Amino acid sequence: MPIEINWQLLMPELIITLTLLIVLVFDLFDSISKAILGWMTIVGAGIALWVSIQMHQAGTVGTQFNDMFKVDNFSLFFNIIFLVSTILVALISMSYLSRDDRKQGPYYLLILLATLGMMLMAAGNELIIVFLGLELMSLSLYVLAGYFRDNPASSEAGMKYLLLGAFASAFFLYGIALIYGGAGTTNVPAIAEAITAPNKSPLLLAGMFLLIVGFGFKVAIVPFHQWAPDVYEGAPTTIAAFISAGPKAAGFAAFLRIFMEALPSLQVEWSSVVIVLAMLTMTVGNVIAIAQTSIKRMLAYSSIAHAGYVLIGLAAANNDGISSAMLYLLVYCVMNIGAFGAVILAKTEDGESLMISDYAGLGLRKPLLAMFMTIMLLSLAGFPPTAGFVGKFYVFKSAVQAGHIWLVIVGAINTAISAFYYLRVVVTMYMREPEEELSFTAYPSTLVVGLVLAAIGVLLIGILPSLMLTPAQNSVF
Amino acid sequence: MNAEQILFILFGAVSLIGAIAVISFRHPIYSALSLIVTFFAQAGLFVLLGAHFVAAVQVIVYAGAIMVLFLFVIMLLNLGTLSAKGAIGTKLKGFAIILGILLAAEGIYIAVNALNDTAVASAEPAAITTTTYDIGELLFSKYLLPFEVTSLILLAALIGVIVLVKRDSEVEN
Repeated sequence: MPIEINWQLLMPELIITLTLLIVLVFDLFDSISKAILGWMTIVGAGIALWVSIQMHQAGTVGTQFNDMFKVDNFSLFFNIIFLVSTILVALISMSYLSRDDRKQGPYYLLILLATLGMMLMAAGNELIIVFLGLELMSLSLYVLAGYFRDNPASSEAGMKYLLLGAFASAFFLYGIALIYGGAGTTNVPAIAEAITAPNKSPLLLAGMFLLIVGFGFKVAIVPFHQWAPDVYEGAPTTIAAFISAGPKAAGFAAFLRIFMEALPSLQVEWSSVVIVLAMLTMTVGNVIAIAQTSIKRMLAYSSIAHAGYVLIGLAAANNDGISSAMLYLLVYCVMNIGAFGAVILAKTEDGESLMISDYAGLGLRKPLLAMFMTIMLLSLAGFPPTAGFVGKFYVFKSAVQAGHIWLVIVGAINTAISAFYYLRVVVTMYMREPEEELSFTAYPSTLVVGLVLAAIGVLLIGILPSLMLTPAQNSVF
Repeated sequence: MNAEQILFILFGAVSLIGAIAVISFRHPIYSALSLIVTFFAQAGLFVLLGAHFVAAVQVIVYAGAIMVLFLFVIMLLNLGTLSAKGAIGTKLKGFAIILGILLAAEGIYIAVNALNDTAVASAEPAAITTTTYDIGELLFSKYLLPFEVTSLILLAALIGVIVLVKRDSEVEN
């Protein structure tokens, strides 16, 4: 029985697969400079990004492999988020890795494999595909988190991430099994059809809650967030940027698709849970971030808080909610990678400067670095005219339209709390004198290019929000 | 009570007892051997469900290959008896017991409700495909994409293991 495959629909995924195979083969030749593998990754992801944008503009829709793989504007928009993150992370990684030249091949290969896993999660129209994409992404990330084997903190981060991630995957899989038991299928549209009946099977409800727990672990929602600060702090800084961006967006992509498309008839049950989780996540993330002295840990708690803002969009559960959550994820990925990139830029001869107090006096001594850091932190805090403001504005607006006034009030209070710790870094950079003179290394050009791109993106979306808002609004399923 | 029910209760009980034994023994080898008992009992449950292929795979892969690896690791590392004070403190232990009881109660509640649920009872069982021929055909037709993605996951795992355990050549020199 031959299968008809429309290869055009699979183009972005195929390009990434091809790129990773090329990287795998070229890594074998010792005569080639390993730095070229990073450029291959960027070119491959760039072509896939261009194809995804073309397909998004053409409004391509279609399913493949017995309705398992669905290409629509929703999955294509998320492809754009993942590929932008991958390109930015590859750019900031090039100078970060050059000390350890031999191990670059597997690094880029694993990043590409993780990207492919994310794309499968966004396009998965079948719980099995979503799970396999999740595993492909997670397995690559466990290894990347523990990539610096000689560094105990990195090994610990990899180990912790592996154990808790495997635990979360088990919850997720158990949830899928129970939903299969209740609905008799694992296909997303078929589940929605199967549970239109008024009596809600307890199996479905239990499966749904287990899915929330599984996703909660993967995207670091309170109370499933404990792994995040340790992993972000121990993992290589570039990988912390990667983990906090793409995989979080991928988790939310599957979260949105499964809950909005497969379980709309259980919305009464899940939306109240999501509202509580959103409030908890924002508040706990922001309040704990205040107490941090390490900038990586602070950014980890801030990324937990940002997952809470995205949940507001899901809690709104209308078209505006979905499109604003998608816009927020895009904005968040760019600005968060930018913030981690600025941390990498602040490298001294003793290693990275990870304490917030190390940043004292940088405003005058290192104006370029201080400028990048300030733009990213202002955007994370949500000040106009940056993209962070646009993202928060539309998320809050969608929640007001859905009638969740209290949720928006909690969100607004949290924005005020978060401004305190973001601005504290800015104040430290411009207004405080350094306690000791740190000798910073020269700026690597690829890293500066990556940061310039991120800064342009943040300011452009901030000034012309319709540039990305209109595509996001066209991407709702 | 027919033979099938008696067998179900038997296999279910053995699998539960084995699972409890895994976490009760202080010596890792006893735990690993108890796990084999659980795997065999679960294979029996799969046979009762008509999934003969899964049952065979369960015995060959889990009870066979994976458990041998477990035992090798335990013996090579010479783990010995774990001390009575494990990783979990007494405070957390109480908390864990409460949460565990809650979770078990929820599970039982759901199971009892699901038994009375007409929707679940009337759901059609999936087409029984027990021969390797049928499974092979399904893997290369309906489940082609999951099958291919699985191969990529194995690639990721393979590369990951090599990255994590390979000795740096600079260190050797």
